[in-house]
Amino acid sequence: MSVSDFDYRRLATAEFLTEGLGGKLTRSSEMLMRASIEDASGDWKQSAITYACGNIIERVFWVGQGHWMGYFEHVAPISGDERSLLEEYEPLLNDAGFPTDFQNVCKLLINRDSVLDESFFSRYYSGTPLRRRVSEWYPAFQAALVVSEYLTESPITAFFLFLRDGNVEKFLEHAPFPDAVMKALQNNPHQYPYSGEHTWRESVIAGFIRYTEFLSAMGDIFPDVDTRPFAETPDDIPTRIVDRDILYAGIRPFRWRFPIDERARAAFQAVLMVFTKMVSQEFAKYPAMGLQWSQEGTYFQVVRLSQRFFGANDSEDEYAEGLEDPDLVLERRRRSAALESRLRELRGEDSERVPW
Amino acid sequence: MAQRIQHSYLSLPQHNKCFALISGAPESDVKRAIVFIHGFNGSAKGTWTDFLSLVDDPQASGDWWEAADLFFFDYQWDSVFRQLTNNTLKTYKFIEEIFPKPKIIGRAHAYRSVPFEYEDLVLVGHSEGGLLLRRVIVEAAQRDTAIGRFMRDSRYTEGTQPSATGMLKAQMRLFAPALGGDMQSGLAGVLVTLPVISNVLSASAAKKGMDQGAPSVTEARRRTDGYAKYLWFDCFRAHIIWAEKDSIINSEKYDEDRQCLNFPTGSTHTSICKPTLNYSLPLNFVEEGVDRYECQ
Repeated sequence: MSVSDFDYRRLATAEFLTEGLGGKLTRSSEMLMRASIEDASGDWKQSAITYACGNIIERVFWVGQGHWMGYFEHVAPISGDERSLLEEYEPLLNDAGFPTDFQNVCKLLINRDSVLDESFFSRYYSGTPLRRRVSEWYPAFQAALVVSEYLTESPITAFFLFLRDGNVEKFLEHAPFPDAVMKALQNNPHQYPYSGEHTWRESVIAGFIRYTEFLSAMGDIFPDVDTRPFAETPDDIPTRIVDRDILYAGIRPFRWRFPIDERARAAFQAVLMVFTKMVSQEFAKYPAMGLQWSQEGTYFQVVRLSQRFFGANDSEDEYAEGLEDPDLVLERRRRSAALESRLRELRGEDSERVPW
Repeated sequence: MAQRIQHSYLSLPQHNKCFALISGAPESDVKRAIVFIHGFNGSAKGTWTDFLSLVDDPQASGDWWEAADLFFFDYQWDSVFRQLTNNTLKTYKFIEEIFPKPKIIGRAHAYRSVPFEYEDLVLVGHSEGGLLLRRVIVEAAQRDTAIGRFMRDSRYTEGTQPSATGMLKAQMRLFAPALGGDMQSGLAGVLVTLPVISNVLSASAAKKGMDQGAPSVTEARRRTDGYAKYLWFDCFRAHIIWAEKDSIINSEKYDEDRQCLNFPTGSTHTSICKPTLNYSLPLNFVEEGVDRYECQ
């Protein structure tokens, strides 16, 4: 394989769409649709359908990102059946509170005038134009794809469905049963998360446990790196760090799963509270383990990582620079400048630095 | 800076949740298979997260990785000791399908030709994964008739030791390997190994000294130490590294293990094996073991 290119692009695309994350998103979507049809009570029907459609749109997002950087080849974004599904539930999706970019892609997929063949991504999804394929991004992108497969598993789906429309009061009625949480953690990855109605509470907690694992794994791929020691000017921040910053900012197609509203925040706080209480109780059962746990430390990590990977984009955020450590504000500005500079380089606008 | 030949992700559908990273180097340049085995409550995806990208980063890892295909095994973890035999045999079969011929890849892919064979094998384990690998090696040694004959005869005569074949050619790299017996099973065991918890965990004095040792675990140690006395195979002399702040296992090596003399600063039981942009030691440890200068 040439080191400047990625000859396995066709294989990578096929792998993604069949056995990899794309295939898993497709299967998760189909499973949710089947379950929504079988759901006699209708309690979870709407969120299951929303979630099924979200999986399809997320898959399109991943392919779009991979296509943009040169990792994936041209493919049609969705099947005819998937388009019909999105069309049928358009009103539901309009009210789903998806992030703006996610809504835009959804509208594009539903629009009768859109061309949904292999030219789709070149036509509508170019992103920042790049002058070359950016092979430096492939390994980190590949790692993010692998880790994101977590999100298609059954327990974590239960957790996100709960954030969307779970009954918080009912959830807090009693503590989860530890054995049932263990059982839920071992669930078949393609089982409908609410199939056991009497253990849904435990499924949500098991999903939260998997959610923290996802956050930690993403935090390993995109760690906080203090770039202040490197040099004075943004251009001196190492490219490998800047590259990950660009990727991290760009690839969060899973962000739609965590609704940004008061209801979801309250549900999230309820799950976090029940989880921390359960951890304390479990550790108290085994004093011989001699463990001393910082509950605040875990709380801080979960909230910080959730904000990083599922929070709104910085531009949409309510960052109040005046309230932050001035060093951090300067650090963020240097990084933003470095990001701009690197993107200019990739667009071929800085001919001195990138000879072609 | 020269770009690195990259690895390509490949799922292994015959083995649920297992996957591989196949090197893009010409097949004639690919020398080794590296097999990763996670620990209790770990997973192939969660435990080794950033090996996936950093093996292709020239500033984090050496060219050695270009000549390697990586395989990540995922196994059922519901009880530390109840599943031990089951998981040992599954791990054994997984490795057997990889080395020396990577049959596991299947013929549907264009990645490796039919006659291709690896020359070297590196087995990498974290926590319980280390214990599984020790048991896999003992299993392989027990199945090897030449070794059986040599061990029996060595009691009476001084013979030439047989050469290592199959997975007994492996080099072992173990991150905080579990001795067993002192690990907590059940939900508490799951919770204690979650990164968001283990990173903010410390052990009180009461934790020390609780190493009961299940029979299946002590047996693995006894047999490994027994083979190591007579056979000069690398697979019986694991290179091991411990975390600085391990609240989960007691750090104690087997007789012939070689251990890293330094603890990576701030490392915990779960973070010890996870390389990041800030912490590339796990990559270097897999490549060079305790011969790496950080370990001297």
